[in-house]
Amino acid sequence: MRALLSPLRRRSPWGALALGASALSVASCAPPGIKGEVMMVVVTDMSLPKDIDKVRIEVVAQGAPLYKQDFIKLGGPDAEIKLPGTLAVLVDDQAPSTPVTLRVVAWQGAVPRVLQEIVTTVPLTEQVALRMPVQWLCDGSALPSLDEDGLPDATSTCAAGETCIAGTCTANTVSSATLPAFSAKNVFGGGTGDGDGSCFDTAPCFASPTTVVVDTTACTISTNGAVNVALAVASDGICGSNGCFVPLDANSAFGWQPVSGQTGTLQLPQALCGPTGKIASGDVLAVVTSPVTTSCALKGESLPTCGPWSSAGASTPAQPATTPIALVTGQNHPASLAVDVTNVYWTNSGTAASSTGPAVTPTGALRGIPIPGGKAVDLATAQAGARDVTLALGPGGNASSFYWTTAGINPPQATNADGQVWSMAAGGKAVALASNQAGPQGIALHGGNVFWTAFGVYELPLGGTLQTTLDPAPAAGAAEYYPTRIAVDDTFAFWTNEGTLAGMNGSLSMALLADPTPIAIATGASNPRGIALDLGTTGNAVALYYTNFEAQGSVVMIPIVGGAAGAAVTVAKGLGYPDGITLDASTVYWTNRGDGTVNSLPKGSSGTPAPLASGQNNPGAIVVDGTNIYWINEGDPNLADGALMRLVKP
Amino acid sequence: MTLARRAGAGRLLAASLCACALAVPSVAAAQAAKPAGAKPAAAAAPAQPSLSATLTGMARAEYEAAKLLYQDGDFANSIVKYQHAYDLSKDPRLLWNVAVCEKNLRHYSQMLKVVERYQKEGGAFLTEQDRQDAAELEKTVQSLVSTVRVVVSEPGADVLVDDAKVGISPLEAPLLVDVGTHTIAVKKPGFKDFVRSERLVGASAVAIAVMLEREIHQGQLVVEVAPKEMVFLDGKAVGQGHWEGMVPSGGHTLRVTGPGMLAYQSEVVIQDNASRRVPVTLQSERGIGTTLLWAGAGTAVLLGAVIGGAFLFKPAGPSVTDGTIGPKTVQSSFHFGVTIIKGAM
Repeated sequence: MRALLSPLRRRSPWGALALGASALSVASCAPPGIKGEVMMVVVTDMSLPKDIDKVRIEVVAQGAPLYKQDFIKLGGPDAEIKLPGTLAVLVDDQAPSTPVTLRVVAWQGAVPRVLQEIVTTVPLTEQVALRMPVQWLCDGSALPSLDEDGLPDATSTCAAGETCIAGTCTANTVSSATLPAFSAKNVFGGGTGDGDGSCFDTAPCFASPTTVVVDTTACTISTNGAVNVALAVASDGICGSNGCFVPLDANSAFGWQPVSGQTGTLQLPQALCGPTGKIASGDVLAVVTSPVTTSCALKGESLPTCGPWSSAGASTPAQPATTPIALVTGQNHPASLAVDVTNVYWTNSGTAASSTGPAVTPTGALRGIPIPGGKAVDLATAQAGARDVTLALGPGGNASSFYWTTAGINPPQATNADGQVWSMAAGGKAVALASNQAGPQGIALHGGNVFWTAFGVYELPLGGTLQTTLDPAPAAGAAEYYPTRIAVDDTFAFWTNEGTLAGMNGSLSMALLADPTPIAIATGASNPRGIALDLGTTGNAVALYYTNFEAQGSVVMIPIVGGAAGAAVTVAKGLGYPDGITLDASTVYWTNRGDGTVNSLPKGSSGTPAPLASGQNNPGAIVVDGTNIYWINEGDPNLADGALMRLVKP
Repeated sequence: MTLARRAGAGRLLAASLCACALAVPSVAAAQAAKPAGAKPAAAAAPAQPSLSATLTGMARAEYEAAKLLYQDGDFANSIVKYQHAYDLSKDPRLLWNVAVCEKNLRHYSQMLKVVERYQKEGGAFLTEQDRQDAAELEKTVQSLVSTVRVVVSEPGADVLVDDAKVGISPLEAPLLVDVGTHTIAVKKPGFKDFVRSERLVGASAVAIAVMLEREIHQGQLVVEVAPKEMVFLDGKAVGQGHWEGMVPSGGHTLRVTGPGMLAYQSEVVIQDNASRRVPVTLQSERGIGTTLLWAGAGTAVLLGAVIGGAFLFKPAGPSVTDGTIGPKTVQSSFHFGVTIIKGAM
């Protein structure tokens, strides 16, 4: 099989294109009066502006710059160009054999991500196409540098004379004689690049993807029938409800190619395979396929992706507002999340140790990602069972500090006190505020104090060392009521006591901040888990909402009037393991872990909610801001397939 | 101490620049009162005799004249005298005085050049303290100067800053240009002048790529004739019917013929970048006489030939397919007017 493939591999991707696009006609049938040109075709398989927001195009001849231009705001309403985009490099009639260097660099913010540089000549009378894709597989092929004027530039990570093609450094010299004739319709999905033609709508086309096994030795997959192929990645690429995908072009050296003589076997880019490939590194979570259908044609080079960035497609579908989008996938048991005006932050618990198994290395983390999506960033790693997170916000609404709990890598029992409470200033290092905690879980921040639950309820002034106990852990042998989630207003702390998970022995408690003596405000609750406060204008809660986490669970509201809890009201019942809960000015939102839905009801109302999202993979904690709803999909307990989701508020 | 003697003067000058006061540091004051904290020149090297004491003849006379001009605030002419005195004596201290004058004229880039020259040509005459003072001064003035790298597509072009010629392309090194708005020009006979106003903020590096476009002396000729009439220009058939195209400036012979019509011929003068419209109405041969029938037959023969010629001499250039990214096309050589976008955005 490899021998069969080797001739193809030896050809340049552009040469392969030429063979596939009647190169012979280029050489022999060029009409008279045609000025020779190389049409640079800049395309991408990434999502703009999430992954790329600036592209620089340069043309250099004989070491002298002929053209250099940055195009910014890509993917936005005032983008300077759309992709695919083309630029004609015209022949120098006086020196047609002069090599020209064509360079494309793509940035996200100040970070160069992809660099491609091709050296070729411009034919005298033919107009040929030179595809210069900004490929996700080549992410990392550009390193930041400064040009001779001290301005931001990028250098290639490939050796001199090479450039990145499909994730592999390849010779960067291309003979224009091997290039196919330029045809706009072969670039713009049959259109002209002015919003006409067709495009490939990646997210809907991979709404129900099939994960395929990759033969990482041959770097092939076996398929049945006509399929589209994509790489499932964490947060790059084009994201939809079921993850983020980088589509691979069919029959292309930049994507996949059929293996000769082996029906259904497709050759993938070599950069995916091997011990240092993107599958082994975890950059690619899976290789997935989806059937070719009428609405999802075969994704080839001539069919660019749809999106706000796309120059092809009469309508460039944006994600429907009613469809949730995965901001990041492939997360290792996400547990909690918080949002500021710019980013969403979440904790990954990481791989848990069993009570009988060997000790494990902490793999939890505190991470962040821009609200529109993009590159996820580790803020703290090697966290031992990270749990809840909360933020201190600066004047601009961005997080100035992070606070979170880690339950420890041992099972969270009162006697296994290896949990910690952490703080970290933005851009700083994590500092343990409290150690030797027994399975800390919930955390809240208010009035310069941090509150947390750890078989008891505790308070610590920021910058201080004198810890206050709002509710002590039960003595050995006493019934465990297991405080879990906590919320604080100007006067009280409120928390859920999950109980033993074995019956109606859960409860809700509150305590005056000034006189921390627990007051039971609801008993007989069934595994109360999530808690949210409806804060009044004075900074004090006017109501408390919580979820009873059970098969026929419920959302319950307790009014807080005059510093006292009123009678509990069931807002919704018959819910499948309601879990996380949050509020905004008008609505209460919660997740049902059991049936994989996200639901809402107007505050003050009750009844059967209509799900805002369904098909979610064990949804858990949930938060809102003025525009969006965000939640965690905790994923399979045995897999690292959790996700962070975003949905525009209805 | 001499007029602008070394450490004291240098530090005073540097201090004034640091404070951005840009008050004119009196050279005389610099001589008279070394600023507090300045190391005495003697601490680094034995005291040197003043310029008045060491210069002789014409050099001394020029030096004294320069001092007078300086004290009168005529720094530009003071420079001339100091420079002449230096040329005669090669005493590098005079270069320092030139630098002070340049500074007073707000010619910071010129000042840097002179200070550099002072360090280079001072040789063993300069003490270590002198060099430190010069380096400190250079560092201070850097914030008031930008480097401008001018790359020109044509060699042998004059490069001008504010109408002053500063070099000939290709320039060996970037230009030093003072903070402020300046006119950068590049000129070469046979090419269109390149002129750009550039606002320089100081302490910055600016690159300007200049593509000189050849001056093309041509204009547009529009010949309005009946559809079947042939248009000849300078003896060549260029089209049938209404014709227009760009032609070299100067005189041309225009001829229009039509079947059964009397030929029209005239001299047409085309001016640079101007459009010339020539409406031609041919007169019928009828009534002119049977002797012209032969010419009519000949015209018919000619018509077949010139129709082909019209295609051969079609004025339009070769077809170009535009891209979608502005400017849609890029020439792959300097022979054409390619626009270079400067720097990053």
